[in-house]
Amino acid sequence: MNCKNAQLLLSAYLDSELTGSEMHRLRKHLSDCDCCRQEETELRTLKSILTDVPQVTPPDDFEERLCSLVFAQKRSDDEGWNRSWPLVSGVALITAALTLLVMNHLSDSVQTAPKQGNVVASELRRDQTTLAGANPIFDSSTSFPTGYEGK
Amino acid sequence: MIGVIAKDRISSREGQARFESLMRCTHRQAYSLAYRLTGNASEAEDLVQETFLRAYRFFHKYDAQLPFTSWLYRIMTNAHIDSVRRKGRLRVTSLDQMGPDGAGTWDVPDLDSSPDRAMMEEALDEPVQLALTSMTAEFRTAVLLADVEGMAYEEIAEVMKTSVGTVRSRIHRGRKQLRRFLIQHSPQVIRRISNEL
Ligand SMILES: [Zn+2]
Repeated sequence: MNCKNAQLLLSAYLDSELTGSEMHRLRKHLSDCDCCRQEETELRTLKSILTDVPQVTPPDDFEERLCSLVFAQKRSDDEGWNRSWPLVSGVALITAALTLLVMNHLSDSVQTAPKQGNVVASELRRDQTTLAGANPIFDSSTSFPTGYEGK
Repeated sequence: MIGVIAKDRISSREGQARFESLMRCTHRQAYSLAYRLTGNASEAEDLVQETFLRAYRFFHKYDAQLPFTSWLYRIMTNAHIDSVRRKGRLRVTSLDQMGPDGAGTWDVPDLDSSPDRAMMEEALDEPVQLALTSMTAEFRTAVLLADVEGMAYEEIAEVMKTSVGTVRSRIHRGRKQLRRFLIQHSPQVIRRISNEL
């Protein structure tokens, strides 16, 4: 192991995140190399600076402001927890009804338009999936009027 | 259908109560992380509010098998990185690509004009916060989750939706950015800690 490779492993070493063989090879290198031992000491210092950083306390009234903001927002919000499941079940019901309708239509005219019915059914399925699958975490188009994004 | 809606309403009330108790238990910890991420009280409040609003909206997707804070921090760190990108503050140029004196791209905030001095409990805290604020958002997030929140790399990888290898590299490069900033702007912090160790 050379110094460059050894130094790349030092942070993970300090965090006890190396595999057994990596740790073995790094320790062997450290025992022979003053430079890397120096680097280890400095990174250890830095880690201790960070682990000792004190917790920052919010203002006294923050908890109550937070609660009223989150639940007030919710009451005036048509989507999310309160409404999303009935909404999705509603869409599912409509989808099912339309699919039945299309299938009835198909059985009347199997010879004439079998493809069209499949397209309609799959489009309905896709809409339903889109509705049900909004992502809380990585959908940056989901915006909330909190002022955070605008600043 | 009526039965289904009634059941949804009940679980919605239970959901609100459960969410409220989780929020009351975790909001202090969340605020502290938000403060470390953003570097000031008003942005920290905005970030916490944004995070809990998103979390509540999608609470039906939360998997109760996982720690609530992991899920919450995923939402928070993502909102933070989004916001930094939007503001164009993300430092695309990493310090490793800069000149040997590290000059050029730092915007060093004026220590005396910082409005949050009174909140800091220790003299060393403010230079460290300035150094954190100067870091690349992804590096800062990984370093804070490891060193301040005490998370294992695997959990950080889960929060940041990336690989353990990437977490390892972000933490290493992040600590080096931090050290370089402190050596350049607040060498007394490093000296003081080194003497104590
Ligand atoms: Zn070496």
